[in-house]
Amino acid sequence: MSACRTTGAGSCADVATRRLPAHHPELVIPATATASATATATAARSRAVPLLLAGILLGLPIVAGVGYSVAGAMGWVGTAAPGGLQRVLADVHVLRAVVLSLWIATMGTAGATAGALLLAVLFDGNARLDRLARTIGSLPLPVPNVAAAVAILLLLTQSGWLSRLAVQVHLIASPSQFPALVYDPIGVGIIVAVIWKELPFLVLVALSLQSLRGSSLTAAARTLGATRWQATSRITLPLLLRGMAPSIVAVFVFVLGSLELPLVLAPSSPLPLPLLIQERRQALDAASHGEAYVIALIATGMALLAAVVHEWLRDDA
Amino acid sequence: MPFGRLIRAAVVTALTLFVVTPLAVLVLTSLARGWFHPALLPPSLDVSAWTDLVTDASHRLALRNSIILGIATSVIATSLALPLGRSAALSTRAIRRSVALLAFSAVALPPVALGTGLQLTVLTLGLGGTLVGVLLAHLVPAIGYLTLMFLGVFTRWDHRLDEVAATLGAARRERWRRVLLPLLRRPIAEALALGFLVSWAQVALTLLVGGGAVRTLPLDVLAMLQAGQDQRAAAGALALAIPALVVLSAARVAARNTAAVVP
Amino acid sequence: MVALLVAPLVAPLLASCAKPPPPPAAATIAGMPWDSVVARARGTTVVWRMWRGDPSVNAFIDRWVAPRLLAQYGITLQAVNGQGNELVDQLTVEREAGATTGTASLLWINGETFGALRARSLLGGPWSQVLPAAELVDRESPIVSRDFEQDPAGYESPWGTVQLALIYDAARTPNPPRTLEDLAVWIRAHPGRFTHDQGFTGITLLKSWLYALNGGVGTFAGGFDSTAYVTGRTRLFALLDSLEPSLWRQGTQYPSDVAAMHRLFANGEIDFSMSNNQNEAVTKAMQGVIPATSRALVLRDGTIANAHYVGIPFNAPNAAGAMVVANFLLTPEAQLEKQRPGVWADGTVLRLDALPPEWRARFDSVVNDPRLVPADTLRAFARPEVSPRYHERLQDDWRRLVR
Repeated sequence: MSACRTTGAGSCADVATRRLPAHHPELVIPATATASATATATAARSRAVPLLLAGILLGLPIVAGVGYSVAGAMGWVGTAAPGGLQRVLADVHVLRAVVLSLWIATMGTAGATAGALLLAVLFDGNARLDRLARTIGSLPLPVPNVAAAVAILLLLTQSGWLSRLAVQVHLIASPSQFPALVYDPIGVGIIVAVIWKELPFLVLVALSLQSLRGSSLTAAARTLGATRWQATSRITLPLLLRGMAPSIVAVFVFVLGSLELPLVLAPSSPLPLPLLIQERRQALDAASHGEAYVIALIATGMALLAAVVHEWLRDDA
Repeated sequence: MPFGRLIRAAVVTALTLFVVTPLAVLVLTSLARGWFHPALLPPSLDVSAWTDLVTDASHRLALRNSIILGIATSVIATSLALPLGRSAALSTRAIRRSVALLAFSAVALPPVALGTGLQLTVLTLGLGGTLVGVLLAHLVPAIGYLTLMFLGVFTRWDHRLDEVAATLGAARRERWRRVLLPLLRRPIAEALALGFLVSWAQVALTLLVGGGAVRTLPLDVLAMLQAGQDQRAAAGALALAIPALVVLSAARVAARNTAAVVP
Repeated sequence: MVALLVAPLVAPLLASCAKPPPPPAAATIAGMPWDSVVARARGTTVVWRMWRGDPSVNAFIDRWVAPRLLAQYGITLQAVNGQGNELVDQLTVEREAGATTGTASLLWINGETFGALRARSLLGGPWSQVLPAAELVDRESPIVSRDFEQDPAGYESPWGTVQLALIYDAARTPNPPRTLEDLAVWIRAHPGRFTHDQGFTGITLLKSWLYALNGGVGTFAGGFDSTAYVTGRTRLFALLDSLEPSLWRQGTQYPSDVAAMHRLFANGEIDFSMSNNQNEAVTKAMQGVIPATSRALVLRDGTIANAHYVGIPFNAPNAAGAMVVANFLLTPEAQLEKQRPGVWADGTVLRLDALPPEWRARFDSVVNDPRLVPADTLRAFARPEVSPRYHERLQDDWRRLVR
């Protein structure tokens, strides 16, 4: 349907009225006069349809969600006290929460990207080892965040499984000697969980990019005398990074706003941003309520910024 | 080159340990009672957490809710995202960009920020604390992800097959049935799987919009963890992870057609 | 098969289109004779939002209370998660959205939650005075008759009592400190082996210390006094500051809740856990969550005892059913079962000397079970709650200034 309309050919309309059998060998020559009028009308309609659909399915909920935060922050709805913005901007806990969340998202994304690039470069062939690596690497992909968080918690707490292993091989003697990887102020446990969960996704993206773009460029470079390392570092890696850029932004913003991992693994101080919003929103005093809305808007703003960057980086539009 | 082979072997080993160890610890914990530091292995194997998961009425309810929400989300989101993605892909560049931006925002916005507004909307509709209300909330990120996916699929799509069929006189319904849908079998399967996973794993939106009245499996896992019931939380986490693994491998995902995001 | 999937989704959709009139309020139901209330409740469902964080409590509710409610009154009980600020938040949003029919009919509440709900008119009532079983409630006890110094005034019905206790491992710590002063000395002598959680229990412990450091609970009784609070808080925070370097993780991190405390304690990271329920040491050891050698410790300076209640929200769909459930919880049968060490070991709100002799005997044998903290000890060191404003302020200030 749309294919006919956007190419502007009036052939579909003509064909329909003439009712040719499906396998008629004749090709229909478009009639020009009536066709162009129909074409512009259908073209305009086709522009409206996706926008309308997207507006209803996606736009409405977003407006409902964000709109409420705005209204709450302004004091038009809810029980929030005014002056939230000033209090939030002056609150050092909020600043620390933002910094912590940004840090976790950055380190987690960077780690997952580095791992993904390593795997994509080392295991892009078809040998058994390559396929094995790809299969194992994709295992965590469907595991829900909650399950991953529980697993990492049981593994990395000071009395977790790794700590017990350390005691058994006489590296440490008591739980307190094991480094604090969970409930710690730099979120090591959360970062590990992020890498565990997101590395498989980025590996898939990298591998699909490689298969799409082929290896002709690297092959050409090799024939011109580049070593494998030079070909990889000067051509493959930059190309992969450029192609993965939108996915990297996506992972970053998703981690930034996710509630599940911090709920299980986060420190009490500073609190990551989603937990801080929860805490203030559920507090009983009106002042905290207002602050929660403002902080939610800050988080929303960061996400929208990332959305714009993501769209700008996508190049197959 | 032997050095290269050594590196590859080392990386595969490290990768395997990294991926498998957390899962193995989950399995062990789910079977262990009174397993304290510094014991490396559980003192005895105890399946009570697993039997509880199956016999406990509230867990069964949570599981039922999760399955219903998952299937409903995947079917509805796929049915809506497919035409949306296709019509956007066939449209102008600006439209494609706008739709992609909207879809990505639906996914990227923190649920904590979206959640209260959605909760209020659901309550105003009289659907507070119901499964339908939570379904509506789950559909938002699901339609977002799937729209991006189908946008990518149809942008790289070879529309000439469709055009030829049209030129040869096939009516619209016939073209869908004989040309488009058979070719879309794989992306549709991936979309169904992805939509299911988005709902299956969802925590924040269920908590915020369901208001605690709607129990799903991931919420139960969190509750057990926060109650200090590590054994049951581990069993629940595995019960959460295993069907997800099955669903995804059943749809044989390749990121070939995915425009951007999979969680 | 498809119907199975579709039905739970479609039913509420249709229901919301019908928009039935708001259900009768708790106060209205309370005006009816009790027999007609029970008759109204027969064949209905009651959704009870409560704390679901303990398998023993869940087992008591799901496997003892619920079947009996069904058999004796034809009521289907559905216990779902929800407590504290969450409930206040949820009900506030529901009122804003004009939801005249909510989902829950019964709420497990006390203290500041009750205060906040009352202040915002989110509770239905008064109703608890009409319950037949309420006659046996111990109204003389300051713990039961006043909820954080607030008068229930018929808006909530009591159903259990607890007292804060520390938990220690007799195998690791054979001679634990028994007063606050000794505890402070112990903490300094064993750096990194003590902490408290950021939740309700941790703040309750801090409140106990607030009383102890400032001349006892009397200083804070009789409503919220800002001057008394600030003076008391300064002394408390000074103590906490001096202890900070000796706390777990040097006081830079605190476990988020009691479950996290139990985990640290069981695995030997810290030597003390705590709980609002004095007998948690027994129940958790039975569940295999903490070592079998764990024991409860009630500090001699006094620890806080309080009662928990059930309330009915303003938009409860089934106030009649909720009242029948609340009444059932007050029957000697239910109170006794609840107090058994193997079940929950939660204190009773009934006046034991008002019970018929055979019930008195049964309660005595349960209360004097050697595994539980002796009743005399509990009574001697119990301190009542004071105005909820103290708890709120202490929690806020602790989060802002100490954490």
